[in-house]
Amino acid sequence: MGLLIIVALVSALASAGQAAPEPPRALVLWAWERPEDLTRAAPGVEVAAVTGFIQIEGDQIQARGRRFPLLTDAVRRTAVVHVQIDPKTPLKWTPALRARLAATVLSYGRAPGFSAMQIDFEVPASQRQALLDLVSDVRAALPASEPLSMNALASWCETEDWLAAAKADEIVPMVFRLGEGGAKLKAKLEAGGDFANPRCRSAIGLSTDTPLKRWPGGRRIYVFNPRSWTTGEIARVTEDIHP
Amino acid sequence: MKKPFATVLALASLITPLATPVIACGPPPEGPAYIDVFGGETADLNAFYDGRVGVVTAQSPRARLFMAWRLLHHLPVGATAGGPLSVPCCGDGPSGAWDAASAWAQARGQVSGVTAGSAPDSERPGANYTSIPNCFAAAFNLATQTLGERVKAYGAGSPWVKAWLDGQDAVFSACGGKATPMPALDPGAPAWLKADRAYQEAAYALYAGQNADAAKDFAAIGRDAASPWAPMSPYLTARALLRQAIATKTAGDATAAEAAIRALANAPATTFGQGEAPAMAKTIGVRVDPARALATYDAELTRPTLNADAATDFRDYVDLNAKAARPTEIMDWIWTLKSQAPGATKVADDADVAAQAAQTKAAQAFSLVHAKQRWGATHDPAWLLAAMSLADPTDPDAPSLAAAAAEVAPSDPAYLSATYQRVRLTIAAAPAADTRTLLDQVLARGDLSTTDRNLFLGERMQVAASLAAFDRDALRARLCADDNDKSGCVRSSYTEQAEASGVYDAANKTGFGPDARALIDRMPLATRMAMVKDQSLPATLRLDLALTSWTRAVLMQDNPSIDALSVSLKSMLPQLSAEFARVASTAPGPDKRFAEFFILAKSPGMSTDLQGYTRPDGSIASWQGAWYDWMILPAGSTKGDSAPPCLLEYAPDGYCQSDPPRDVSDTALWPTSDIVCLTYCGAGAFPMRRPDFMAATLNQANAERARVPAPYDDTHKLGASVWAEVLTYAKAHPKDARSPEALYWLVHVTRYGHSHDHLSHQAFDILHQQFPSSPWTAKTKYYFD
Repeated sequence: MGLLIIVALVSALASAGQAAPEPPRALVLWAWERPEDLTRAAPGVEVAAVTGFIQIEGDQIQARGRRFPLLTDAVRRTAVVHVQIDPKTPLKWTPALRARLAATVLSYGRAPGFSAMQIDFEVPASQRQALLDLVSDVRAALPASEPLSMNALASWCETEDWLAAAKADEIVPMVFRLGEGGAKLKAKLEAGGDFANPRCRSAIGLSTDTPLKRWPGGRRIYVFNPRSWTTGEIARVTEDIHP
Repeated sequence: MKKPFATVLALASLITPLATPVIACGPPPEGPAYIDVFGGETADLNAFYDGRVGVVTAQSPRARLFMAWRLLHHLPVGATAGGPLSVPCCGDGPSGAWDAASAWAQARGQVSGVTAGSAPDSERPGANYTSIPNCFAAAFNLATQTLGERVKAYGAGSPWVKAWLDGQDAVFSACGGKATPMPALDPGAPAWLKADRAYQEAAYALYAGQNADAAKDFAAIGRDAASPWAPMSPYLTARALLRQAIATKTAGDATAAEAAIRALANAPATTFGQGEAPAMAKTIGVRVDPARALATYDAELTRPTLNADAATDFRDYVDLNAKAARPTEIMDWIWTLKSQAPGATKVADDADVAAQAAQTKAAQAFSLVHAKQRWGATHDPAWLLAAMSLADPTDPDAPSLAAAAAEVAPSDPAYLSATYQRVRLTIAAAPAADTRTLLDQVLARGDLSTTDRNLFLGERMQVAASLAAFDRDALRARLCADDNDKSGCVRSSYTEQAEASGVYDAANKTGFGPDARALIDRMPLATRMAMVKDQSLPATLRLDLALTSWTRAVLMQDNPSIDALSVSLKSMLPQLSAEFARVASTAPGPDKRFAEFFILAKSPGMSTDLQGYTRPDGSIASWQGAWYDWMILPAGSTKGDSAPPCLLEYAPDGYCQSDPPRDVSDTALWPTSDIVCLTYCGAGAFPMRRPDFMAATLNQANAERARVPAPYDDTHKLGASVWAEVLTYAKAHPKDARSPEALYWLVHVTRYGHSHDHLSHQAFDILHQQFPSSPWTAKTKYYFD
């Protein structure tokens, strides 16, 4: 019984922590593939902007840089490289493609003016190795001083354990566009819970169109907007999150 | 983090006065896919290209509205032009340059002493973190081909081939904006290499942005009859001058580019690159004389036949219109449909929500006036449709617009839109039988798209003469299902696809429309129970109806209904068969209530309404959803304050904004919302008409709400806690095998749901003190206050 009491006490303390969560470590606005003017963001607000778009078709790569202007005064800027697999052409994951993909991601991710990189690559279960390989190769090629972040479906952080092999410095579970299991996870977070995988507890991705009443504190908060940011939205997000 | 994130942004607000401004070309929110403003699946897209315009949806992309305009004016579209017009245009898709550059990097290894390197950048940095395509796949492919030919002709170890490679490396270094100097060529180089080098130097200048030099160099190559590159000279000279004109924006450079492009166009038909001349002429024309270019585009886009370049032409057309003093008729119509008629109030990004709402309403009103003026001046049905889509049923001109719509012949391409909007504007006042007759005629047509059929079913449902008819009309066919690449839907090109799960039939093909769900939630218990028995409805939807009705009956403590539904649910939800059987077989009293509450404790996702409910699927442990902190009133009390879910929540990703506070009751939202077409069809409101059989039971539905309290939250408490009663019962009945399990579930409830009064801690303590050896205790290691 003594042990149970201790366990319960620890839990109660954790609950107390949940009631007054730690402030976020940073607020990061995602600047996606549209014209973005983030110059009205408060000092200290970071920007993570798409700088490269890569599509894999079989063993071929289609790639391009950012087409839409980004205005920002943010001191810390993260280059986001979006990678996707053409659903109409099955992936042929060969050593040659692996090497070319890593080189392509590095080319776009190390864009001038950016000090960190983020890989945005949603893969189905059958192609997780491609993601792990890519993250591993990019991490190995980057200087230690340049952090590598990766986005993750929230389910990867909750019901799956393969992310342990991901060599990223930061994993950002995206709590929007949730599929199966999303309702339960959302309820868990809103009730003060956290992601099952500890590696997913340093950052969180939210979206302006997916309301969440509560989320775990003490981490970097990335916010996605399905449309170009407006001044009002930037102000409201900043006010709500208080970095 | 002080405030709920829900306050950040109101997306897809369905209430017209408070609607978030719609971005001109932005997509509507995600699913459910009963209405697809992007055109639906392959068969519907093809039928549209072939002339079936259907119901015009104002939130469609501008290019689709352009096609609709043509079809409304009896101008064909065709699949050749229609396909590219149905996806985002243009030039922002990924290029194949990367792989071509990689192939070039590999090819370099053919030369002795050279190792394959990394692919050169094909894009140069632009302003504000943009990348600008500079070298295209064709350039890398040509270099790869030429290198192979030179190695074959002169040998991999030839110093001249190495010199050629050094020159080409310099050329491609310019692609990424970091040009290295072109190495000097040995005066003793062979003639072939001198000719190649001249071409390389011209290309180098082009990629380095020295366009005038490049043009001179390419022109000189054209004068060298011995150069193998001479045939490419007219095209490359014109291209370099075009780049120069775009970069400098001077009249002189534009004139020079025009002349070169004209020369290319007038050259013999076999001239290299001549096919590019028309596109180049358009590009320079836009810059030299925008007004003339706009007129040219307008003429081309309204010709009897669209060419294959219509998508790119339309993109330029939109840009030119945006800068023109007066837009063309087509763009005027498109912008007006979107509540952005020229001169309309702009919605300020940084205004507060109330100000934005006022601006949005003002823009709608302005656009409506403009559309009515254009309709009056032109008698063009397209303008009638625009005016109708912007009008509310309460608009003074609504009757005359509806009357005009009634004159549109069924064979007219505007007929379906006119009829849909006419019904929307008149359904409240028109005799239901007349509306039914009209809609039945439409629904009998064999040429409706899936979206259009769903829309007309939404209207037909509102005049259903019986519950059976309502059930039939409430069902809608799903479009563009997830992971179905064969559907041919193009909406994934515009927006990510993420849809609610657990709201369709077992095959994921049909479900209740959001408008139907809203009406069902506003029906009294008896009507909902009758729907449970309607075998024409899919079993999964009947399960949804049964569970939400059962929850409602439990909170009302309506024992006959509880028993009847429990009997049904015994077979409908086998995972809880024993629990429902026990409820049905237990006499009213504390034991029966515990049996009922025990089910509530085991079942996340239970709700009194379809909105807010999550269907159980699979094993109980995998059920999704959250638990409400249920409250219950004493028998006979009518002080309940349960209200139907906020109307806006029936929309995809919809929710009711709480900050600043606003009235989200049906009284406030019903007259101004549109959850039939989700505002996709236009800014005009669509206050739903309750079917007559339902209107007659409105008082009963309200009376039932008065018997149910809203769930507990931090600022509101009415009635007694259901969970507290479970706790008390379990504590008092230690020999009941369900007691430890109930306590386990109470702890679970507080982890994933809502509770108060340290319920989790209390349940945890009782469980561990009274049931130390229970397996449910072993599974309960923590509490979650």
